[in-house]
Amino acid sequence: METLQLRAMNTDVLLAAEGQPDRPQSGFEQARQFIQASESRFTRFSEQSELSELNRSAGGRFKASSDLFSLVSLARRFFHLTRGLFDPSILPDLKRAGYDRSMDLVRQQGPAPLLESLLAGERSSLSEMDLDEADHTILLPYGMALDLGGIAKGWIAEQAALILARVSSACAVDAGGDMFLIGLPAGLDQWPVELEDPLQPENTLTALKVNPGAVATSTVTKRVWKQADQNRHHIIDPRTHAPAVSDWISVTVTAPHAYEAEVFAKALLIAGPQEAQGIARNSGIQFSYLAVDQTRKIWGNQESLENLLDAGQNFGSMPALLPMN
Amino acid sequence: MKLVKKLIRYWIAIASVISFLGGWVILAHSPKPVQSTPSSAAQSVALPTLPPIQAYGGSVNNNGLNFFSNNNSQSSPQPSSSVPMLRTRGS
Repeated sequence: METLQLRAMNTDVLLAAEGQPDRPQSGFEQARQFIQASESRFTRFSEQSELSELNRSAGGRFKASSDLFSLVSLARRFFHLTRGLFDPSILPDLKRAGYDRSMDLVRQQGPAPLLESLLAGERSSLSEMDLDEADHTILLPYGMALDLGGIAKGWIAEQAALILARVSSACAVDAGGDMFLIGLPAGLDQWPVELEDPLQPENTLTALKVNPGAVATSTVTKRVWKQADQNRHHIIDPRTHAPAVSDWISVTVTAPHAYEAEVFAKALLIAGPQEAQGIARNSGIQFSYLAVDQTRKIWGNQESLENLLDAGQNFGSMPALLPMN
Repeated sequence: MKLVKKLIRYWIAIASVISFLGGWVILAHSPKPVQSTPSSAAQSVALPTLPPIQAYGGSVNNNGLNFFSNNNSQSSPQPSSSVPMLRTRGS
């Protein structure tokens, strides 16, 4: 397989495609250009991005590009499917928690100071956002601002993989561990994917076997910082408007589409074991998930464990997975 | 004239300070979103209880979820084929 690595969306991106070297290279270039152009449109960290323009327009109608309109429409759909646990309008909460610039800058310069009493206030719900399909205009309620972070990253990875698929029958786009896989590499019946140990990133917790489609992981152990001596992370619970407190520290989802995997990884991480099953079953989306807790136990429903865990490629003392009945 | 200008400056300064402090007090005592937004309340409606699923791998908890434990994670082995190492890790 030919590969290309680049830095985009504040993470490492890997493009991989099977085929004669000339063909993947042309696909890589097109995919690279698409990723960089899309990032500049949907990032919240640039005042010039289309997303920032939309956020500044809150209170009035904004004429969006068809891609942005599609993304915001998807975001609203998943807001309802996850019963509000996936909510891109938590951007003010994220900033209040200190994540007001890219993570690279937050780490270099320190987070924004704690201004809880000044900035916490009554907010509109995402369901009050108005989308006009006819003219692709979006009306954000006054004071609302969106962060399309994960859902945009998933969408970009999937679109980039589809670009690669024009020149390769087996290809992958891996954006910081969230990936979209098309076809199968020669000689393999599934893609081998490692699940990183969220507590020791240099180690692998287990091996997964994944069908073509999307894989995404959300974790509370990666984008972390301290704000006024309090530990913070970037997974905001929309119910509390603060970094989520969950029994799980990471959730990995496989789904037909990358944006679905991104959304449900985040929603299930916030939901935790008490609500995860209900959300998964009531969503109407076919996906599998694995969750990791503080003791490195891996949780999931039976289907997920059977579908995803590669017992033949186990690491260390992972037990054989045999049904009890 | 100078006296008038001076009075206006003092008046602007004092009014600014009072307005700022007043705003601060109002914001600090405003209701929190979770307490007052009807749509937020709607989001926290309890999900329907689902029947437990079959146990798998020897362990099942009260939430009907299966688990297995792997406390000895190890450094990754190198792939044997030319397929690049794909690693999901969250970001």
